[in-house]
Amino acid sequence: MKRCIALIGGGLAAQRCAEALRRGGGEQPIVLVCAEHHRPYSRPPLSKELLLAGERAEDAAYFKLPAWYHDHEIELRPGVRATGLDLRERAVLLSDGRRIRADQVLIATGAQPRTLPQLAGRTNVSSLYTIADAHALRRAIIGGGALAIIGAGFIGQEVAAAARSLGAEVTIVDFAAAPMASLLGERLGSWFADFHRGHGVRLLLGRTIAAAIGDRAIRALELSDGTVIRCDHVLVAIGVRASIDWLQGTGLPGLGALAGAIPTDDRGATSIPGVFAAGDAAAPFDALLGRHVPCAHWEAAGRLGAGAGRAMLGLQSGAAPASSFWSDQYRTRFQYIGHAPLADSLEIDGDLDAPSFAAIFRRAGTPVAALLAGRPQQLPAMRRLIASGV
Amino acid sequence: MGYVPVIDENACAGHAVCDAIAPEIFEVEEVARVIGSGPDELILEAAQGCPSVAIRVLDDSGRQVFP
Repeated sequence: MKRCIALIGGGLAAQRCAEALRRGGGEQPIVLVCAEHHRPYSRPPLSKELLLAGERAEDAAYFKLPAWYHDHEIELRPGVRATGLDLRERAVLLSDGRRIRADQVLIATGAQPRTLPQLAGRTNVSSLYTIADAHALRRAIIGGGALAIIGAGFIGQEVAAAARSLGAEVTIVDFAAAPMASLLGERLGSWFADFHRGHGVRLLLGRTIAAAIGDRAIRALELSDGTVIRCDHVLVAIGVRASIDWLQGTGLPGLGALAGAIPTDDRGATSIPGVFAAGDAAAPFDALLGRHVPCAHWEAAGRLGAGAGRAMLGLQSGAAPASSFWSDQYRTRFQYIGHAPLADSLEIDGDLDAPSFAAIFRRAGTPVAALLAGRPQQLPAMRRLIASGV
Repeated sequence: MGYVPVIDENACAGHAVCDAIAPEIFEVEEVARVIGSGPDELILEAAQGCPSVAIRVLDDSGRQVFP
């Protein structure tokens, strides 16, 4: 049998890799293995449009129509998981018992939401990572009642914004003193807390979950300070971990210490020739920080997937600009670029109430990151500012 | 006559919002390409919707209308 390129994962990184391979003139057979029963789709709408509009928004989440894969001779294997990688035989083992012999492999199996052991097995606790999760969460929200969100990161905040827009009663609980304080610092984190309070969200910060009250379904959460919050549904949004357990024991370097994701270079190449990784499963080397950093965000995942596709064909990629990250909440677009934790000072310019402002993070006077609120047109200038500063 | 969209390929991250808003004008594979033309408002809407702000819009005299 003719050997092929195996793309393991049905998300952005695998999709962009497939596109790059075909655009770059690659003619090898491509097999794209998706664990979910869907063709590749984009995850950002899950915490935004899919919650607000439900199944009507689902079509827009798919990258391509089914015909695209047929036309580009890409064999889709939906509903199939990779269970192992045989580096000596160059074969990917699959959950349906089949094997794919491949010259080149992209590991793009994404991540899975972190869970809380004390809430395990309850019927009204969920996470948000897949289309199925999004539909289930929307049903819980529009079913009425109180939604408790554990974790005040961007996903928790976006779900809070969508749920408020749908009329739900929302409480966010986070152990930090301010939302995203470890990334943005307490001053901006506190601004986000006030922003959500202004939209009717209850935020309980600096607290953890002590106990879940109720039998099969949780009826209330008791927090570490004794506060009890009533809830009809609980969303756990405390981050993700790379879905790379299936690679344990394969001999792929970098997994022993479990850095959290597979270390790669800036083209997604691992230390094994022909084996690439991209997306949430990968941690490309960050020249600025001098270490491997989990890919984590959408733009970075797409670029790394495309870069891996070109590298498989022996093609070069241009230097990527700093990736930006965006979040939509209550009709305000937030955009973040750079590395805010490097900063020693923060300057905020604009109107905090509108909101329409630019928060610029500097280290020794040099811009290292920016957060824009309601000012998308300022992103190109910020990107230049940060690129010139580094 | 009319607005002309220009893609900054370095800034484009392939979000494909433009492709969703105006598929006759934009096509996204890896990065966006301009494949056609259309009404000014549609071009502007696509540019404003781009999370990476990778679409510049010029008017027929070459003046930048967005961003």
